[in-house]
Amino acid sequence: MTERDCYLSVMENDGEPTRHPSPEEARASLEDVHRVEAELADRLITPWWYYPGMGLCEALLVSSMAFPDALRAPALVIGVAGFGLLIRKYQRLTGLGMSNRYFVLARGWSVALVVVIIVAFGVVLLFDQPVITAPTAVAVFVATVVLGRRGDSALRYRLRHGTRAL
Amino acid sequence: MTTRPEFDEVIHAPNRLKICALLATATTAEFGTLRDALAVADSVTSKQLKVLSEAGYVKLSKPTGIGGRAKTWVTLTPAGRRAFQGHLAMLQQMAADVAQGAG
Repeated sequence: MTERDCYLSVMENDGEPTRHPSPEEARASLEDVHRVEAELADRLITPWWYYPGMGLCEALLVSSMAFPDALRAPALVIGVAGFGLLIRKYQRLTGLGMSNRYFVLARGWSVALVVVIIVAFGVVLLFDQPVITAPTAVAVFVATVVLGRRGDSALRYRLRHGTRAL
Repeated sequence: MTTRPEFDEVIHAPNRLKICALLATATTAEFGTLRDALAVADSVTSKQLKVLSEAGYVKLSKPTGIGGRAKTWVTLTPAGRRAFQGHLAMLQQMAADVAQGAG
């Protein structure tokens, strides 16, 4: 459909005539979209326990690589179930889903956290010693809390200042 | 991939545009969150969601919670995302044309 068609066309919608937007209406609609995104930033308030909880789950998953065989599977199940519970609780509190778009909007911090976790898995699997595993798990916990909160700030900033440039 | 600008009469209505804008970022949202974001009554939100659902742009689900009241969750479908992006591109194109004309 061409822009000229947009000006000329008139259609019925919900019993009320709805014509294609004028350029001014198009700008007003874009402002509406931006306003919704900015308000979304205010709704995405992460509870204080979310990233510590995530950090504990990730630390458990990483350190489980050094556990005896009998304990490894239960630890993995507990870690993954913990993720599920935390995400579900977060969704109920905010009324919003955990979108892949959040990852994109906080790309730098998200990628940094993924790299830390991958490296931690590698270190634990490579050395397989409690003296290495324990500090690695602590590092994963701290990185999750710090990078997660930084990512949250970046996400809110992008939402408030426009995400369409991505 | 470039989005083709395309007017979408279903999405263009202000409340439906806002719903799609919110879901384009969050993907999924609870009914009450959408109603609060629109600042309208339940009935108005329901009506807008029904139109979007019939167009295949959103999917409504009511997962049963443990011991709690089931809430309605709304998810933007891939078709809804494509339509929203096309509509947004059309709006941006029109706004840019105005800016160029003024300049």
